[in-house]
Amino acid sequence: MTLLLAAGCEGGGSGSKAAGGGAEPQWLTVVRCANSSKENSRMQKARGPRSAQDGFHRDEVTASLPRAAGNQQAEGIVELAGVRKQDLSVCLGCKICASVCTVNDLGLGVNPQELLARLFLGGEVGPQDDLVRYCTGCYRCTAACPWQVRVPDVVMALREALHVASPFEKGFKASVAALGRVYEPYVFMRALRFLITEGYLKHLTRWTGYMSFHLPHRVKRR
Amino acid sequence: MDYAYYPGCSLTGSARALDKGVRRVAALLGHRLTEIPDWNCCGAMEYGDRRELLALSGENLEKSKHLGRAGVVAPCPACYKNLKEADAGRTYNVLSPLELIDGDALSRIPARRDLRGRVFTPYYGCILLRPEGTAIRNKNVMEEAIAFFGGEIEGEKVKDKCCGGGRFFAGKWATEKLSTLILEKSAGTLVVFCPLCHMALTTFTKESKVVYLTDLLLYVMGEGGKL
Repeated sequence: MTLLLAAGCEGGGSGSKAAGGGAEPQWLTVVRCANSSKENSRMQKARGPRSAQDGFHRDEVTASLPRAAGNQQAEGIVELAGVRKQDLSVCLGCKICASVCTVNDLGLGVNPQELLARLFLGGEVGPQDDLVRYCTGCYRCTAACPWQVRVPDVVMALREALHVASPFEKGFKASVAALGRVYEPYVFMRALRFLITEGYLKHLTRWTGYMSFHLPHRVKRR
Repeated sequence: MDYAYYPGCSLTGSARALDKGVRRVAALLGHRLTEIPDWNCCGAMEYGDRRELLALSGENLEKSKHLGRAGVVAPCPACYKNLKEADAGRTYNVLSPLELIDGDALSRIPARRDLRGRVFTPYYGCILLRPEGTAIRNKNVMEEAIAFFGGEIEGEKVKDKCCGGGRFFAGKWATEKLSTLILEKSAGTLVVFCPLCHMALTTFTKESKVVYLTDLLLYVMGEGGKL
């Protein structure tokens, strides 16, 4: 599957940090030109709508661009992740991200590129998506990507937007909100039921070296 | 050299051994670490809103400003990454303690013991090595330190694999599986520098011992007990 992320052409790719201010790749010019072409919309009408998960070719991706530009979930995620659409539109579809993804060591068969494509082509990304649930934020995908696309930042933004957080993670944020720091005893108490039911307490004997007592510090100036 | 010091939340609690080790090793190398007053959490890997995440670390850098030091030392890899990303202009010189023992510094360590006859697997995990923009300068610093004091190195293939520590308190089975993959391919004592990796590997190891690099250096300097 040859796949480019539809990211709209209004910003172009020349400002992309991944592009490093260098010459614009030829294919990006092709995408931009195709998007602005009336011929493109005629092709789209002729072909009819297609699923983002179907196999399709470069010209078919450009046909999906107007729809992607109106994708509200993608707009919100891009803003949360602190990236521009054109930083993600440089994806070449090589799938090297999938080949190095830690989540695939769990046997879950995820494809970060497919997630980005689904998101930006107007498809649904939900809280049950394996990459949303299990991405470890290891940045192996980013390191392997020819354009250093920061998929974990997008996944973290998705978690934020979809409210995907374990009771422990909620306790973490609650501690930061209340004290300005993570006070571990507070987080553990907030997540105690989760820790018991999920079988964490059986590891307590391994954690004696981590246990200590100190009073919480409340950050004054924030 | 004088540095501002950002311990981060875990080093005041579960990773206090790393905190003590970093402070002691830095002192023995002649560095002075001054803790940033009233520092706040850096957000670790828990904030999906990048502006919020960068703002948290930006506040810490701002609080270190008046200290007028040569840089900001942050031992926890997540804190190190977040502070470094917030320091877009590279005006604060955010450093990992690993960058203080790099190069000539090893020869300045007052060694009283060596590591001959011992096998170690240096394990960096993720954030110290990736992404490239915030990675440590020398990606073999732990190997060099171990070899410098005569230790034998194994398990090179797992040094940059992920232990799943970031999802430990969300999906334990995933962390167990990923950590076990690393433990199966390592040999001897695992040497780490990340509190999350330390906890994940310690939780799921069957026989391997997991230590911080600072434990190893203190042992060499004659400060620690048995490794």
